[in-house]
Amino acid sequence: MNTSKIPETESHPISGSLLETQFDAATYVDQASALAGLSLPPSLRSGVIANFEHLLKIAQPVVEFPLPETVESAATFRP
Amino acid sequence: MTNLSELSDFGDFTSISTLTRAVGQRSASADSILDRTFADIATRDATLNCFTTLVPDRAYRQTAQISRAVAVGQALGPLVGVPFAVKNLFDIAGVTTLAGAKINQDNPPAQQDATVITRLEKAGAVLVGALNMDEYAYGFVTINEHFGTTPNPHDPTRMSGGSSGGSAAAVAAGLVPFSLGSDTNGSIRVPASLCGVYGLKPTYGRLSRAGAYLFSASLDHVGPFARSVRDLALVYDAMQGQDDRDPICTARPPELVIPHLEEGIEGIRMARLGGHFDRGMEPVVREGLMQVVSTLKTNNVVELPETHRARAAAYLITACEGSQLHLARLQQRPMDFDQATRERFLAGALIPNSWYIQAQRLRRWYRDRAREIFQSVDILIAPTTPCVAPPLDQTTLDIDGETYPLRPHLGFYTQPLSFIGLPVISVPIHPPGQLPVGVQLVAAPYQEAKLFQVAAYLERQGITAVRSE
Repeated sequence: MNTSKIPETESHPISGSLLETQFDAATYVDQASALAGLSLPPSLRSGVIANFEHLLKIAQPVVEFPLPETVESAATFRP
Repeated sequence: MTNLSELSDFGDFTSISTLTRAVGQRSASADSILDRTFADIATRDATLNCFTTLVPDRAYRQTAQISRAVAVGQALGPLVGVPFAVKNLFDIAGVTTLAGAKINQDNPPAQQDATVITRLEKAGAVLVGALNMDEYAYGFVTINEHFGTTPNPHDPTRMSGGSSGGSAAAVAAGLVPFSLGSDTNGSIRVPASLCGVYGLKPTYGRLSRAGAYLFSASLDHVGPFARSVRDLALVYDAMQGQDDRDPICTARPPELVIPHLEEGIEGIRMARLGGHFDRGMEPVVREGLMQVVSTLKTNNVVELPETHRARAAAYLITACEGSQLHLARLQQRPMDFDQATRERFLAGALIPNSWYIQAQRLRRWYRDRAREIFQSVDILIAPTTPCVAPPLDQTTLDIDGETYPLRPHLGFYTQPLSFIGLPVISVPIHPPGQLPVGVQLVAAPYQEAKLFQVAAYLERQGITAVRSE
């Protein structure tokens, strides 16, 4: 039985430092764009990779910020 | 056709109050006002490049109706005979909604007007056309590969701001007394600041977005630009009300702001926003900000924590939702997008869901921090843009020894506030002979009346003004 419990008042970051991982943006962009049905024109590929690397930097302070598990997504739906 | 002498008799052609009084007292007809508007656009818009579409047939049908109402002594609406125009992402029945995109030219004409247009026309306003913007609202500059650049009316070598640049510039140039724009991360407030006009981004969900082409639904707002606080209030009040066509439009009854304009600022607790909102601006912006702060006699400074994370989260939500909205078009015809947006949209389509969900959770957390501040403060004060209108070819901004990429930095102070849907008026500070710059007045959700009280006070004190130069 796992006795470790995440306190309700804090949660772990959802990943470690995005910038320290062995992440290859070019490979990711190629694979993820194929999955999304996007065939990148060759003339745009390097620009898309650069933009994704920029998004990676922007995402860093968001994903590393610990939030309590009780904080729900702000997206709402009224039935 | 145009009777300019008749119109010059009754005063300021760009003031809603002056125009409605003239129509009501029959010193000018709605037709003659419209003639003057179209003549002015024909003469000046070749260089201002605000308009992408004109709708004269529709406009003259509306003025004919107004003339009949005047002739038989019917009650007239609060915007009777006042010409206006809308960012070209609002649906106009019979017109294709461009949203700044060449791709959208292939779409059929809109079947129905946007709800806010219907409400403004019910109040007597006269729609004359649609205005330029950044493609799909993804930009702060209104430099559009397909429809051209809308330059700043105060200096055509400089930016008007965006994405509602055509809307702000048309009002700043006096082509129309008011206009509508949309604001996802600052797209009303940034051009209002750079063009020196009043711009209102109401509470998220306060005004219906039905019939407005969306960008990032979690963050999209619509709102007006005008040349005085009273005009801004008249337009805002005419647009309020529930709308089942917009799933996030509030069911709260309208809360009119016009009755509050003369109430003054007694008892309103104010503070300047510190931290993130206290750095990264040109000295001239700080001067304008501190002028407002000293007029409002507040020494309080409060800080919204983790604002840099909030801004980043807004960026991720926008990129993710915007890219998903356009996914089919990105799959089928990426080269038809504006080069300023296409690589950003393509990269945004690849964002992992964990980033997006975390950004939406951070949004709720940050909202709660703002709620804590609003326990003891009613109005927050912050700069709107970090600089006055930059030259059209400028790409970076040097401030305090730091170099910032210009385009995203224009939203530095606006983005965290729209992220949590707070109502904001950008008021214009415009010293004679200088370029204008805006200051944001920020209130708790649905407290627009307090915003208007403070804005009207600043206007009466002569601190804020719209200048035609």
